[in-house]
This record gives sequence, structure tokens and C-alpha cells, in this order.
Amino acid sequence: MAKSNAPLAPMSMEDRSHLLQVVREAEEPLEATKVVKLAKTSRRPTAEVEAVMQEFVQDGILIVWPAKSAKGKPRYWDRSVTSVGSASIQELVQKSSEPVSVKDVKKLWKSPFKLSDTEIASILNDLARSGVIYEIPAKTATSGVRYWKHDVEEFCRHSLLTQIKTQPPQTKAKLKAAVKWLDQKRFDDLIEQLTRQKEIFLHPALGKSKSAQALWGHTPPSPEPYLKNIREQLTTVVKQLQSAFVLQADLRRAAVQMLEASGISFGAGSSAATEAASVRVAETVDFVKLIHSVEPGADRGALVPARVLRAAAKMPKATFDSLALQFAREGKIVLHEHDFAASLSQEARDELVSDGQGNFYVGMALRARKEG
Amino acid sequence: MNPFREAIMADPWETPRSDVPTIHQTVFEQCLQGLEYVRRNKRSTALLIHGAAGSGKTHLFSRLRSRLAPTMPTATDRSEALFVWVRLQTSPRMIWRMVRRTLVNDWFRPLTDARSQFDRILFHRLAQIRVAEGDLEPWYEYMLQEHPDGLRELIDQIASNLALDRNTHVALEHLTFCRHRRDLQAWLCGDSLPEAALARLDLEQADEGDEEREDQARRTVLMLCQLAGSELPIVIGFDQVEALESGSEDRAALFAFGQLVSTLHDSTSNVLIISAVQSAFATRLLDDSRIADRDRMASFGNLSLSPLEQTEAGELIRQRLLASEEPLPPESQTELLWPLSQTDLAQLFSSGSVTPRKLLTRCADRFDALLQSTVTDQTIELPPAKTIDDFLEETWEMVVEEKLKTSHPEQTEEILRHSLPMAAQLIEPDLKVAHDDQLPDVSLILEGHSGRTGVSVCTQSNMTSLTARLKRLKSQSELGRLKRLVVIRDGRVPVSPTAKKAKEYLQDLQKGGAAIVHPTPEVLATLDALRALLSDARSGDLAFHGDAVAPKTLEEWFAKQFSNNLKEFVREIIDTGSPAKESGEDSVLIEAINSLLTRQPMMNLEDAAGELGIPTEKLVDIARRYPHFFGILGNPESILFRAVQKADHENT
Repeated sequence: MAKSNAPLAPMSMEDRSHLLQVVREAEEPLEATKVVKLAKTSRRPTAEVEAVMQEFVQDGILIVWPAKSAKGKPRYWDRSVTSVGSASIQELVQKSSEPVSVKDVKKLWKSPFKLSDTEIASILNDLARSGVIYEIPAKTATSGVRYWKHDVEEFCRHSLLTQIKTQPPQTKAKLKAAVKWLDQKRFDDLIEQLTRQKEIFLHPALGKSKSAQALWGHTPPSPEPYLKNIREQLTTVVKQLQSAFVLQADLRRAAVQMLEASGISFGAGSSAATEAASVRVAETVDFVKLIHSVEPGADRGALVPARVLRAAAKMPKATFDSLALQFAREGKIVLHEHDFAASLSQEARDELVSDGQGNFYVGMALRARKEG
Repeated sequence: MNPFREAIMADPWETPRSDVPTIHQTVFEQCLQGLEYVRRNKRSTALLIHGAAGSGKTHLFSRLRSRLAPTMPTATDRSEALFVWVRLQTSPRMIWRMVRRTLVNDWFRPLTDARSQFDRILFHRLAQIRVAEGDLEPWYEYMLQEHPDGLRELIDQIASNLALDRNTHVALEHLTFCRHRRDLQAWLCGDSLPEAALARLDLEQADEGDEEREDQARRTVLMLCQLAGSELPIVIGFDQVEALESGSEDRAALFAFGQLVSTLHDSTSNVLIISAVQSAFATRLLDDSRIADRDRMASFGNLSLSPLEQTEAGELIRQRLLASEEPLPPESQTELLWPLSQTDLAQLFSSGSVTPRKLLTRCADRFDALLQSTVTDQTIELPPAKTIDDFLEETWEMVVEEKLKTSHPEQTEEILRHSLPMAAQLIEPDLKVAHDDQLPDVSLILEGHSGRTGVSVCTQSNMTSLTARLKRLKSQSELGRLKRLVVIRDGRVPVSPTAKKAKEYLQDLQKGGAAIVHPTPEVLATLDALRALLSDARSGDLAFHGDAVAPKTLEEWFAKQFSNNLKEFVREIIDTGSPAKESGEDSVLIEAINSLLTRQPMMNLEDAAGELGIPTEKLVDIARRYPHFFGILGNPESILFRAVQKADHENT
């Protein structure tokens, strides 16, 4: 049959509304050809639909999106690049455990529509300017700026702690390489601050050779290698004294006096800080002992914030929370509930103990028992 | 009646429905040991007590108050102590004034045989210089009736020994001779008193700025503690410390509280300070306070109120059932932890323990449900379950009504300073509270995008003080440090006809651009209710189904309920660009009519217009425009009267 050349009747208002509905219900911006395909109205030429789309754009009902590729056609949607992209990108950056660049965002992007590099960069820049996310310097001169949920200071801290925890004790120069984009002064300040806060520990240079260097590790140094030479000397001297019939008791007394004079205490009253540092954490930890070590008033029921105890336990959050709940159920400690945890920021909430059922605990205390 | 329903103790001066002494026993004993330490060492000390919302902080205060309550007449050979409980629902800049008012009111509260704590102080002081055998009260009665001159000489001696200033000496004498108790209480509270009352009391009241009044309150509190002496140690309990804060970033509140505790700790020798806070707030208090303040807050200990274990829970339930006067089902006698089910127990003790409030709320719900199911075959149409909105609406109406009943012009400044920032921030969240040392008579400065609005609450009953305040305010307003100045007046305390200078200053302030606003008692009651409920919410004392209602939930609910009157009032203050609703002429006339009707609450309309020097039509017009202040009766209109709140009327 011959193709009919009769002109189509002008598009009805109903058809126009249907086209608009198609665009509004779409999960991503659509080209006019796609709109024509999805529309259930009588088939209209693409050019005519394109013209209708343009009218909607002029009336402010739809927004024109740039073409997907150089050869592509403009697309139409009722949401703007910035509003849709901004929320998704913000969520993506907030959830990321590491800073992300424009390229990373593109790789991680899961929404049904795509954004160009320029659009992603512009949205990231806007979010950073509004203080929702933070700009982190590029890794190298050629790679792009990165963005993260925490600021530069926090990122440096995070990078350094990761480096220190995953590697054996390292020199300052090696640590600096992990944050090479950070200037030397701020790097030195950060190392000093982390050392002061006992997040990292200085391992003094071992030996007198020129190559001996101070190192930093995530636990205090083990004393044995440092005392090796002294032990050898002491062994020799003790043998000489024994052959000169010095009594064992006198040797013991002199040795204890010498060691106490050097600062090693043999008394029961060692400080809370030393005890806390000496708590070795393996798979489990004695919470009661740990609470005693960080809070001198623990027996009278003083509260220890979860944040403080977790730092002392040096355990991952999930393990710590689960142990805390177990100790509480066994009646060994008492958890103190936070009533308005929902009103806290995610960061503040992460510091609390969570039972995974919406209950959060601000800290723990030992149950005060009546004497006798 | 459900024996588990009362799960919140709002005031330790109330007697609780039941008490289980073994619950929080060690903490209670620490409080008693703290008191003993103060008595023995003649040194003040402090305890910081923390617990989750509903853990029984106020109940603990109640037990302590009850233990310290006198059971026998005052005698020198008995270890007695005084008790003060301060709920810190105030602005941090008025903290000492709040402590002063509460301390004085608590010490005037009648206890056994209508004797107050002030009377006990008096008896102990008298006994120190005139040894009396046996009970002091008959001896005092005898002296009062038979040897008043001898008693006066003893008071002179006490004043001399303690180096009391003249005002305190005179106040002590009034106390001894039971004279002008109501005015004396108001004077000791720091209320502004009319000249006539001051003349009757033979006391002075300084005309001072805000900081001086706060400092005066501090000195008064310390002097009253000194007056109590080492024989009578004082327990001062601070509750709802969280209510001082206007937000989680409010360092001023932590600082003010820290300073208060440190001053009491170091400048007295007979006070046990007990601060009770929520656990979440305790960690902030310890982290963010100055180290020196923190050390003093917990100088005698830092104690936890632990949630209940199952045995304690069982005892609490048992005591509640025993205290019930209603007949109970037999299972309540035989089943342990009745009316709770195994599922209830598993849920309540999921973390090993439960707060008393949560336990009692679950018991109450279970009790109601069991009672319903025991009703025979009849099908009962149960009312729909109450929502949080229903609960807040009911609570709100109750609190507003109560505030309306107890509303008093002396509270106006505190209500406005504490609640206005809360209400204003609900309308304009970016508003901040600022402070300016050069504007000491501006009670509150709200700083927003459009500039700074200063609010000066000028509600003094004493016209000399009011005049002095307005004079200072006038010169401060001329410094140009505010975009807008709002002078708040209370219609219940009008400018007296003789206070011409005060009127002049008010007019000058208006000419200079200041707005004069008269909030209605309803607006003040609403603001008072708002601060009370928000304070309760911040302190975990507002609970629905056993769970604390978050301040944010309350704020969101309130933002939807904002009454037009209140919104209009708040807008009138914070909108720097809007013209004042009350014109300058209106304000002057409102003051004048109020002043006239204070002397004669009901007047012939024409006579009133004549006295005011205005046409009758004008008087009718203003009375119609301000119906919350004035009313007109008759047809045609012939009588003008002062509008009085129902509750206010009942009080008077």
C-alpha cells in the first residue's frame, strides 16, 4: 500500500500532556526520539516532538540536558543536573572511606543518567564551597583535586594512622611520603599532636650508629632490644660479684635499687596511664580492668565515655560494641543510654555504643555495690 | 487506679508514691557521707551524679529531702541540715538570681509545725550564744512573748558576730519577730518592692544594672549560707542543669554553671553541692568545662545512677503493688514481676538493665491491658492509641493553664530572658544571643541578618528603681549600638501617677525610636510554658510511653502550634523593620489607664476620661483595641474596668 502523504492533524493538548508525563516519569533525561518511542499517543515526527519539548523548556516546565556525546541530541527532563546530581554526589562522597576525584565519582556513579566530567567537577566544587564536603589536595601534580566528608586535617590524620597501623614502625621520611602533598610544617605538627595524644608512639633510635633513626609505630616500643647491651654487661658484672662471694640477697637489693633509681617502679601503685598502656588487646578485653585503668573513680560508679574506653581498648567499633553489650548483659558493667541520639551528627553517633536496634549508649560504669 | 502510672517525679518536695531504699542505695549513702564530711571538716564539697533519663535523679533528691526533713523540734544536740533544690530553668546570665530566689523560697517553706528552715537557722544561731536546755522552740516562744528586748539584744549580738550589713541585720530581726514575712521573703528573693513596702521594712534596695544585680544575688546567697553556719550544713541540689543551654554549642551555660559551683565550693564552708545531670550531658560537662570547675563539681565523687537489675525491678514493682489501694488480681500476689510477660522482660533487659521510668511505663501499659482483658464477654470499644501529638497537646494545655494561674510580674524578666531566644529561634533559626558590655541595662540582645535587637525588661514595682533604669537605658540607647530597642513593660505593674520622671524617660525612649511593648499575661504564660517544657525535654524529664521526648520533636510540634498572639509578640520584637504595634501614644495611655485602674479597678467611663484628660471616645477606642487589658460595660458604654485573668483573680 502506498504511504499516505496526508498531513497529520495538529498535536492535541492531551497528546502534549502525555509527552510531558513520559518525560516526568522517566528515570533519566530523554532525547526527543526516545520520547517519541515511549509515548503511547499517535506516532508524531521527532522534529515536532522536539519543538514541543523546546516549548516546555521555554515555559520553564522542562530542563534541557546536554547531549551524552558530541554526536548526540539534547535531552529533556523535569529535574536539573545540579539538583539531581548534587544529592547523589553528596551521598557518594559522604559514604566513601577515602577522598574521591572527579574520575572516581564517575567510576562509582550508579544513577541511571550520566554526568559529564565538567558537571561532576562543578557540583563537587559547589558542595565544597557550601561546606557540605571538603576539598583534599591532589595526590600528584597530574591527578585532580579530591573531595571528602572530612577536612584536610582529618584526612592527613586518617592517612598517617592507616599507614602506621598497616606497616611496621617507620621513619618520619617514609611517613611523609604517604602525605607528600602536605607541607613539612603541618606534617611535623601533626606527628607531634598524634604522639602527644598517644595515637602513635615514638621508637627512639636503637644503637649509636649513624644509620640508626627514630621510628614511629602504633604501639609503644618493645623494651627488650633497647636493654640488650645493659643485660649483657650486667650478666658479666653479676658473674664477677658471685665469684667474689657477694650474697644473693645483697645482689637482689642492689639490683632493685639501681632499677628503681633509673625510674622503673616495683610498687603496686603504678599510674593509670601506664596500666592503660599495658593493656594488650587481642580478640577480647577485660572491660572491668580497662574501666579501672582509665577512671580512678570507677568503683564508685563514675561514668567512662564510650569514646574514651574504645580508644583505650584499641578495637574496631563493631567488636567493641558487641563486647560492651555482652558485659552489660552479664551484669559486669552498666550501659548508660543516650536519649536523643537521633539528633546527633553521624560522627557523634559513631562514638556511642550501638546495639543495632536503634539504642545508643553514651558510656559505661561499674555497678556500685553496697559494701559488706 | 493504675499503681504504675506515676513514673515521673517532677519535684522532690512531693512525697513519692513508694520508695525502695535498696535502689541507688550506695549513691544515697555517698550523699549522706558527703554531708557528714561537710559537717566534720567545715568545708564545702560537691558530688556529680549522672544517669540516663528516667533513672531516678529527682527521686534521689526526694529521698534525701525526706531524710533531712525534721522529725522532731529543733535542738542543738541533733544533727540537722538544710535542703535546697534548684531546677536550673533560667538564662545563664541570671543563674545566681535563680539560686537566690529558690534558696529563699525553700527556706521560707513551712515544714513541721509550720516552722520553716529559716526558723531553724534562727534557733541554732540563738542557741549558740544563749545555751538553752532541751528543745529550742518553747524557749524561743517564751523569749518572744516575755522578753522581746532580750531577744533583740541576742539578734544584735548575732549580727555583730557575723559582721552582717545593716540590711541583713534588719531582715534577721524581722524574721525573729515574725514581721512582714511576705515582703521580707520578696526582698530576700531580690524582687523589686514599692517604696511603701521598703519603708515598712526599713530596708533599702539599690538601683543597679544587670551585672550588679547578679553580683548582689551571689553575695546574698553566700551571706545566707554563712548565716546558716557550720551547725546546719546545707545540701544544694542542682537539677535540670541541661536547661541552661540554648543549644549544644552553648559554652556560656557550661561556663556559668562551672563558675556557680566553684564559687559555692570555695566561698562557703557548709555546703554539699549535688549536681544531677543526664549521662550524655555529664560527658560534655566533664569534657568542655574548665578543668578547675570540673574538679570542684566532682570533688567528693562522680557517681552513676545505674539502671535496675531484675531483682531491683521486682522490688520496685512489689512496692508499687503494696502501695495500691485498689483491689488487685490474685496473680499479682503469686507471680514474680507481675504484670510483665516474658517478652516484656526480654525487651526491657536486652542490655542487662532498665531505667525505673521505662519499667514503670511498661508495667502501667501491661496493667491496663490485663485489666481490659479480664472484663467479661462485653466488647469494649477501646479509644484510639494516643499519639505523641495528642500527648504534647494535652501536656501543653495543662502547663499553660498552670502557668497562667501562677503568673506573677516578678517572673516576667526571667521568663522573657530564658524563653524569648527559644521562641525567636523557632521563627528565625539564625538568630543568635549576643552580649554587649556597654549596654548593661539591655536584658537580651538578639542578633540576626537585619541587625541587633535589644530587649530591656523594665517591670520594677519600685518607681525609683524603674526611673533609674529608664534613665540609664536612655543614655545607652543613644550609643547607637542597636538597630532596635524594645522596652518591655508589664501591664500589671503600671507607672504610678507620681513617677513623672519615669514617664518622661519612657516618652524620650519612644521619641528616640524605642518600641514599648506590653505582653499580655497569656503571652507570658505561653512563653513560660514553652521554656518549662523545653527544659524538661532537654533534661530527659518529658516522657511519652517511657521514652524521653527529644527537644527537637517538641520544637517542631510547637512551631506548628505557635499561637497568633505569641507569634505577633515575638515578631514585634525581632522584626527590626516593622513598626511597633503599640504606638507611642497608645503606650502612654495604657500606662495611665492601668495606673488609674490599679487604684480603682472599676470606674465610670466619663470620670476616667476626665481624670486622664482625654475625650471619652478615645478611651472607648483604646479599651476596645486592647481588650486583654481593659473592658467596657453597659449599653450605652458607661463603666471601664481592668481585665483580670481568671487564674490571676483566683490568686488575689
